[in-house]
Amino acid sequence: MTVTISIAWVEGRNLLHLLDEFLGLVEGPRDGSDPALKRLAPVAYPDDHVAASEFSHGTESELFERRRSDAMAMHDDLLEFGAGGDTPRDPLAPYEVEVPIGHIDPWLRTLTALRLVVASRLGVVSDDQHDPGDPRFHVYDWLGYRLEDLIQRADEADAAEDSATG
Amino acid sequence: MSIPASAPLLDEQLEEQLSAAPLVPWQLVVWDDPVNLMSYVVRVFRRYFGYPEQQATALMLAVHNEGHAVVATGPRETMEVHAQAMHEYGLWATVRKAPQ
Repeated sequence: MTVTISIAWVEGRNLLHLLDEFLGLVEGPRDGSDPALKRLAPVAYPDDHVAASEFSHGTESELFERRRSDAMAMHDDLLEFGAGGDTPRDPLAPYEVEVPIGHIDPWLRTLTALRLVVASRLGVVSDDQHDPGDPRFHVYDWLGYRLEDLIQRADEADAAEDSATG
Repeated sequence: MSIPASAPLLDEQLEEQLSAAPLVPWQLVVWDDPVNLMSYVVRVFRRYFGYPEQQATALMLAVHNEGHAVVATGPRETMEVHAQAMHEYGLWATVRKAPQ
């Protein structure tokens, strides 16, 4: 079973480009002082330095491996947008992308992680800091739109599955 | 492994130990952040914890309006597993001892 999303050629290209950058970020070498990486692996015990460090040692490599495999799954579903560099394409032409049900969570987690990284680079720390007139927020907003669209489709697919089995 | 017939003294000692160190539950706390979408947080609570839609929505609103919410309670190890999963989903989650 798959969920179908419709995205423009230019969107697919941009997603692939962001995924490549993201894979470089999580595969390392990771700079521990990078605020984006800190947000992707938050401190679990803010008031207990020892417990926080133990938790981070025990989970961090697994966490980033999960992020890597999630991003790779999404990357695989978008491969068609990496090809055809020689053929001129209409950047706004819509393409249907089939996301296997098993890739929904990897997509959602990765789109969320991409937004967290972009937000961190933009210094978004509060809800009212969002200026829609600032062009730097376009990528951030677009990722939010893509995420919201996929959540809706995934929720619909869940509901259809529930009514089929229940 | 065999278990010897319990000696009354051992039972008493055990009881004493148990009452001296009551099982303190731990909490998984999810914190508000300006990035994560409300629909996404509801979906994560619903799918990962299996909470009904209404409960997942109430928890999401508590996180949003009050800045944080206790999303699960239980043994420390379980809360750490949940915290790692929440981090994988990009949610800002911490673990703490339940206030007494």
